[in-house]
This record gives sequence, structure tokens and C-alpha cells, in this order.
Amino acid sequence: MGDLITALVIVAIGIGGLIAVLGGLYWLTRLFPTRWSERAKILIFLLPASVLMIVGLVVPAIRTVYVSLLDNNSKKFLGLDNYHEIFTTAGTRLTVINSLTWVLVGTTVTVIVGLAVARFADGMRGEKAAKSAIFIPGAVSLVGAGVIWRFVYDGPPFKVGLLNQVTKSLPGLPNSLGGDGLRSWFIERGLAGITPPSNAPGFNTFLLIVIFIWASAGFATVIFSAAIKGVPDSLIEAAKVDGATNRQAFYKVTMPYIRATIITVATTTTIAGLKAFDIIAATTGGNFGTSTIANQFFVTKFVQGRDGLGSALAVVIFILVIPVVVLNRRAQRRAEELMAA
Amino acid sequence: MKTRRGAFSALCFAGVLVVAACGSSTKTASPTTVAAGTPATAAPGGTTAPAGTTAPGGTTAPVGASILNGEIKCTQQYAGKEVHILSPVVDSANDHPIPDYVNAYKPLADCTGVKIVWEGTKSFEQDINVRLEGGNAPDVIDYPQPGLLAGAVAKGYLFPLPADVAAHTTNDFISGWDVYSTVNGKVYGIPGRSNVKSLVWYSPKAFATGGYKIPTTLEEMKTLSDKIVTDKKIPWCIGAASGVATGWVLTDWMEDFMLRINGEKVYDQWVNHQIPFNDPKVKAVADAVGAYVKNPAYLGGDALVKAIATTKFEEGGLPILTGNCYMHRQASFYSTLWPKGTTIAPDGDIWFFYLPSPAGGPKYLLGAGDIYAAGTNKPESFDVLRYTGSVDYQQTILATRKELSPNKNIDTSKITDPFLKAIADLQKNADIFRFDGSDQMPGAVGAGTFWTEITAWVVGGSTDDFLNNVEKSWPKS
Repeated sequence: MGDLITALVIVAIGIGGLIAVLGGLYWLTRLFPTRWSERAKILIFLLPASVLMIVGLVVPAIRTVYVSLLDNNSKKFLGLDNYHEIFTTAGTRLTVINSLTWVLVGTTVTVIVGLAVARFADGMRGEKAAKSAIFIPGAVSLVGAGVIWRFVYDGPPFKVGLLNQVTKSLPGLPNSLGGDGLRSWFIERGLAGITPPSNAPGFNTFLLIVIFIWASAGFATVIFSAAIKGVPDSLIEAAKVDGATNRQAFYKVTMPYIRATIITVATTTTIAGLKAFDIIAATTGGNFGTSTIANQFFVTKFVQGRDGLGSALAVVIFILVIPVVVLNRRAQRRAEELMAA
Repeated sequence: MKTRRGAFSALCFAGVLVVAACGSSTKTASPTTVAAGTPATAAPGGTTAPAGTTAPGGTTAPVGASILNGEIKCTQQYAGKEVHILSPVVDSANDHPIPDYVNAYKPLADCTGVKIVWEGTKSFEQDINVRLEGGNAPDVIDYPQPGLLAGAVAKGYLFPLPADVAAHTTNDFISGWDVYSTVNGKVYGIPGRSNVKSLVWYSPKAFATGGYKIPTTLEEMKTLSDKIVTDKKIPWCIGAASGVATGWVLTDWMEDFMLRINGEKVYDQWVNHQIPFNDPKVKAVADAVGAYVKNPAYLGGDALVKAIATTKFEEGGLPILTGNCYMHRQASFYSTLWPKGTTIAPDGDIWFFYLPSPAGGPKYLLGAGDIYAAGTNKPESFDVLRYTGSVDYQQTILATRKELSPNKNIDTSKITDPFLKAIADLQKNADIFRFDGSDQMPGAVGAGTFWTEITAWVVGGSTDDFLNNVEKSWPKS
């Protein structure tokens, strides 16, 4: 009971404080002459967010970059040694390659699956049910997704691995494809007797990417579906009148029309892929050559306590995100110009 | 619209960096340490503790009285004085101290008038550094790991124990604990609670049915394993999956076998990197461990060897209950992981035997535990340490918290819980104690490559790759 009262008091103080701050800011804007008040309002209301942004984001980000140039006790200045270590040590180099694989494969397939479902479900009977079905995995947390897929990929001694049951029931599959139902899918990097070199992503990494696609395709579908519905019917009809097939209408009219949406979805999926951590932590824990930069960053920094190297890994993620942002901005602008024209 | 979207993306991206910057540096203690012993959860009876203090009670002991066989005179000499103990032990439900630890000081408080203030913290490793560096040292520090104690000594924060207190560390505890309490020839710590890793779990019923005898030497354990294989049964089961800490179960195997094959001197050299990780002596240990953990015959086939890496450590020993395996090497905390209704008794469903040394070798015990040290140079701090290391205190903790003591003078006949008594007896009869090795190695190795490389090794990697890769990853400075 006492705890509840304390909690209520804290919530009341929090909300009251917020209102007081906003009220105070509003009062401040009133102090300016009418002529300036519009501009003053903007600046003053931007202030709290800017301060929080600087204190909570910009300063820590700069500090992370600084720490990444120091040794693991944050004492000695090492320059770029930590970055050198990332790209010369086999283990961490593989995490970079794995992350790039996540981004390339994960994003491409997610966008294709999302577009396909959105297109073919559009106007179909049971559209809502189909879209709900594909959207539900997106509502599951990525850790939950990892746990669910453990039941699919589990190998011996567990008898519940769904994938093993499937491969076992297919006649004529060699054991290297799970024909005996005893394959350890999480562990094996090779497939069908082909083993990837130690600096390339293993087949097990692709199995983890499948989980990612499963969890993110729903979001893509819903966004694409909304965008497709936003394409004016008159445009499609005009194309049809000119003799376009359904297929041509989709590729030549719908796709260019929703281009900006596709880019947005691809960008968010790319960023989610670069930050892939939950799925890996919940399944392989980064073992068997499946670690990504984000997972490696967590392990290095918080499990091993190596501040320098861990921060350098975080900065690498940040650097990899920059071109995505730049490309995104450029493509968005071009799409907008296209729309305007 | 344009700019707003841009700002939003910027937020997302920066989020990646913020995690790094906001977090402070802590090497998470390996789960072996966390899991072992009684978890520091709610106190028995679910009582929430008030402030962790024992009132002197105002009772004045009769003149001339004393405790600890006269070592501490009862003259209320510390009346009005407080001794603050900083400890990682805290009631995780509400961050209050657990009353049992404080109440056990009552005889000392009644005798000397000292007031014990127990400051439990979940973030011990950060807090202790902040306190020591800030000149606000706790009087007594409960170190869960000897490396932290040695680090604080190196920075000059701790005070060596007076000779009469130090003598207890050297004389009263299993050999080995003194090593971890001593830095540069001076004794700084007094051992507190402990737990034991060198156990093999088995089913007494299954052993009786199969006609198997408890092995008393390492060689006998091998013979027994072979015999079980001949009987078309599976002798061992192992689970090493533990999220990002996957592999620690196997590093424990390495440590136990390192002691048994090479002895404690080489063990210390190995832990402190005075011999390289790919030394032939280490390779001999890997081969000996591999003869168990990489042996398809011992585990029930190639698929089950690989399954070690994906079987959760919590579930690793459960096949014993269904007769699907006969032995499981795991620390004492595993007693809490057997399903409800499992009888843990010498003639029950589950019991344990000591992972034996080679014939004629000393009885080695691998484990972990706490060492208490002095952060202030005051007589009351040292008397609290003296009392913490005493049988009086540790026997009380054993009774109330079911936590083992490494003190050799503990009267195990007073322990009512048969499992606890058996472990306490085992500990009492051990010759040499050594602390979990991976916990003492640098984080990059002990919480990094040692785990990952031994996992890669067990699923099919070569022994040379395993040892060379760990050696390569050892920090240069």
C-alpha cells in the first residue's frame, strides 16, 4: 500500500512537473513582443528537447568515440588501434561480415516479401486475415522470436526441432541436409557438404536472418499495403486503358509511386539489421560464427569489460549507418522531385 | 516533413552509440559465481529487513568477559562506533540488506558496543571503485573475487591485517584461501563464504542397479566410464549453453583437470599467464578433458557431443533422472536445479561424488567465494574481520543462510541439511583449494575467448586452434 502511494505521488510529481515546465515556457513566450513571439515560441519550445538531445545523445556519442580511441581501461591513448584490432582479428572481422550479410540479405528479402504480400493480398478475399497473420510476428519481441525459432532449429538431444522433423520426413535427403533428423542447425556452418571459409558467414547465420525476416516482414507489408492503397485508382485505370497488364501496371505505375515508402522501409530494416542483437543473444549467444557487430559490442563491453574495443565496435555500427542515411535522404529527395514533376 | 523524418532517423542511429556511452565498465562476474551458493534473494520468512543494523542493545557484558576465546575483550570499547561493510550481498527484491548477515554479528556488537552497518549493493564492482577512489572507503569490504582485492591492494587502498588476525587466515582455512587473501607477502583478507565446483552428480539407484562403484581416483573414473559404455549405456551428459556466457561449464572442466593433472603451481602459472595458453601442459589437460567431453562414446554419439553447446547448463544433468546418462559434473548450486520431488540423498534419486584426483594426489577443490578486507585502518574494522572469519560467525551463517564456510574448524555435525553437511565435510577434508580460474583471467579471455573457443572446440574444432586462439587473444600488457 505504501509503495502504491509512493508510486502515485511520484507520477503526480512527474506530470505536474511537466505541466509546470510547459506552462513556464509558454509564459516565457508571452514576454516577447508580438512581432517576435512566433519565432520565440519555436526557439523556446525547442530548448528542452535540444538540451535533452545534447545531454542524452550528442555528448555520450562524442564520448563513445573518444573512449574508442583509448585502451580498455580508458587510460592510455591508442589512436586507431582498437579499429585496427576489429578488422585484423578473425573473430571480430567475421562479425562485421555477418552484419553486412544481415543487412543485405535481411533487408532485400524483407522488402521483396513485404511488397509481394502487399500486392497479392490487395483486394483479395481474406486480405485482413492474411495481413494480420503476417503482421503478428512483428508484434513479438525479437527475443521472443528467437525463443520461438529455437523450437524450429533445435537439434539433438531435443526431439522437438521442427526443421529436423521436416527434413527427416523428406525421402532421399543426405544427412548433411538433415536427412537423419539429427542435424544441429544452430551449430553447423556448412550445408550439403560445403563448408564456407572461416571469414565468410556460415549457413547458420542465414537461418538466423530468416528469423529476422519473419519478424520484420509484417511491418513492411502493412506499410506497403497502405501505400499501395494510396495510389489513385485513376492512375492504374489510365494505365489499363492504355493496355497495360496488371504486372506492368504494378511495376511501371505502383512501384514508382510508392518509391519513397520502399526506401523508408528499406532504411528502417537496414538499421534494425545492423543493430541485430536480440535474436542472436536468444539463440546462439554469438557462438558458432554467428555473432554480429551489435552482439559483439555487447559482449565486449558489458561481459568482458573492454571499454575501448567495445566502444570502437559501437562506432563501427554508427559509421555503417551513415551511408544508409545519406542514401536514404538523397533517394527521398529524388522521389519527392519525381512526385512533384 | 522532410527535416522531421531526418531528425527521427538521427535519433535511432545515435541510440546505438548511447548504449555504449551510458554503460560503465563492469566485467560481469561469470555465472559460476553468480549461480553458486544461496542466491541472495528474499530472506527466509519473506521478512523485509529494516536498516541493516544491530543495536548494541545497551546490554553491557560483565567485566572480564570476552569472545573468540579471549581474543576480543568485552569492554564496550567500540561503543558509539560504526563499522560499515560494503558487500555485493543484498536482498535483490528490495535492495535491503539481508538481516541474517547482520544479526550474526550480535555477539560481537553486544560485547564491544560496535554497530554494524551492512551496505549491500547490486553494482559492487562500480561502487567499490567509486568509494575507494573518492576517499570514502568502507571499513570492511566483502570481495566476491580475489582479483578485485588484489587490484585494490595494488592501488594502495587496503590495509594489511595485524599479525594476530592474519594468523587466522593462514591457519584456519583450507590451503589456497590464504593464497588469495595474500598480496606481495602481506595478508589483506579473511575468507568468508564459499562454494564448491568439483562435484559429479549421479543417481545412487542407477549405480546400484548397474553395479557401479563410486570412483575414488581419476583413473577409476575413466574405467567406470568405459565400463558403462561396454554396458551399452551413456556415462556422461553435459550442457554448456548459457547465452553469451556459453562455454563456462567447459572451462570449469578444464580448471578441475588442470589441478588434477598438473597441480596447483602450474594452475596458478596458467591462470596468471606465466605459461602460454598453448603450452604442452595445457594441451595435456585439453586432451584429458577432450577424452570426456569430445568422446562420442561417452556422450551417446557425435550429435550429442555437439549438443553440449546448445543444451542449457540448467538442463545438462537432467537425463540422469531418466536413465539416459549416469554422471554430470557440475557445482554445488546444481542441487537447486533438480525438478521438484527429486530426493537428493546418498540413497535417493540423486547424489554426488567428489571429482577425484589421480591416485595418490592431494584432494583438490575448485570453487569460489568471498574474501573480506579492511578499507580503514581502525581496531574495530580489524575486530569485525576477526569475527567474520571466526567459526562463531561462519557457523551461524551456515545455519541461517545455508552458505558454506571454508573454515576448517567448522563443526559439520551441527549441520542438519544432509546435502549441506556432505559438501561441508568434503570441503573440510580437501587439501588444496583453488579459485575459479577463468574468473581471474583478463575479461577478454576469462569472459571471452576461453568461453567461445572451448565451445568451438567441443563442436568440432581442433585442440591446437582452441589453445592458439586463446593465447593470441591474451591482452599484451
